[in-house]
Amino acid sequence: MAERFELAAPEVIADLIDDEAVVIDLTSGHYHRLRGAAADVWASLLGGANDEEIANAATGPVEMTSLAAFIDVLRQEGLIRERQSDPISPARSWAPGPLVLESFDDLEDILGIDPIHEVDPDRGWPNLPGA
Amino acid sequence: MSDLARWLDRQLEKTAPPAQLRRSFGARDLDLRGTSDDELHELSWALGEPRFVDDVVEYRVLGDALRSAPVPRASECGPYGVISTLGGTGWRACIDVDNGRLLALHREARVALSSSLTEEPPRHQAEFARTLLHWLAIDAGHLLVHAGAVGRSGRAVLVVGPGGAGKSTFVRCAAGAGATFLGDNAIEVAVAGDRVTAWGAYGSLKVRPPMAMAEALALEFRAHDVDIAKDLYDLRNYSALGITHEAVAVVAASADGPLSPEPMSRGAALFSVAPSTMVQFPLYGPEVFETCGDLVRALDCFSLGRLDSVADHGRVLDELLGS
Repeated sequence: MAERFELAAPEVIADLIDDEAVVIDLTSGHYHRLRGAAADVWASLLGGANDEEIANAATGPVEMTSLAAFIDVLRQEGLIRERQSDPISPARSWAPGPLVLESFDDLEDILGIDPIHEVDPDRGWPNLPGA
Repeated sequence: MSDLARWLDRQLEKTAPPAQLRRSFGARDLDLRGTSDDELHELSWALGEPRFVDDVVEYRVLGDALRSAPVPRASECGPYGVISTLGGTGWRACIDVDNGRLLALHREARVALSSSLTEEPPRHQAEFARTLLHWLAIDAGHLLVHAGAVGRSGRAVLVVGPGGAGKSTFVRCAAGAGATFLGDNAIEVAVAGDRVTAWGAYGSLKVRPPMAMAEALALEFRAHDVDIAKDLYDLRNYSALGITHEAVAVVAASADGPLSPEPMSRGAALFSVAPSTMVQFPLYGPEVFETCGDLVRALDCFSLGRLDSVADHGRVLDELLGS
């Protein structure tokens, strides 16, 4: 049976507005943006739909290897994890298009530092050890 | 209770310093107490006239008295030097990681204690006690947004974007076009459904020299901050500090954006607002992110490029706020 996923909360927080998702990983300090088809797939994944259900909800042909690769990227980035909860929403209708996770790391030094264990022992937050 | 909490309690019981000066501080007033009027005037030059008779926080400048406080080492503190051992004591405190200065707030008594500020770098005076403003905003259910803002007839537009995107240019030129200045870097907002209330806190402007229009706008130069390589100007003559505005739009500024405001998706606006605001509140990430989402849902969102003239900014303001 195909895997189902959920948001990797609380380490990851996300919001979906006007078909665009903003995702912030509070552990790595990376933040991400998903637009268009990528945001649709993201919303369906968080609703509990699996890849087959997502593909079936598309309004056109879907390259399953591309969809699987995209889901794998999300999982490898630690943004989603195997689903623990039962409620599942139907996959949303979507128009196939580029599945891109736009990732940014320019704030990782501040967003992602563990303030207790990773800071310089003398100078404290936000100085990294040996920096 | 920690040694520090007991020590702070004893300081709170002492009589406040004799000199007194009241100033607006975002959505409330700050009752500054220190040893001399001159000291208080110098420290708070960027704050506005008092506005909020029913909501006042006391701020005691205690000089070197706080240097003997039993504070933890910097390495034992959280983000921005926050001391995490004061839970349940009524106190919130942090140590400035640059200079070891202690700042503490008793949340119920609404009294803040601070070490001497005589060696405060210019940029900190331009955004006086910003950490305290963050705390008070959070306690009030508000948010201090990383944004500039200008207003007209009680309505305001927020300008967001990364450093160098043009926030300061926009608010400076908009002020030249007759708008009131609410701030170039930190704006307090309260989001209630589709209504966003905004308050400016600091009548200061930080820009990399040379700054165009400083003479034309008769801006008062205050200081150059070597560490950030920026000039600091006093914009209080253009400011509406502490005056309640209704924010109606957010503009995401960028160097290559359109020359007239173009609608942008709320998702894109959230992307412009949330990360840089969240880094200011490292212990409140999820709450800040959620409020940023509420903020962009409540506002009209636009993208805008860098404009050349005061007249262009006046035209844009007419579009966004009405003439």
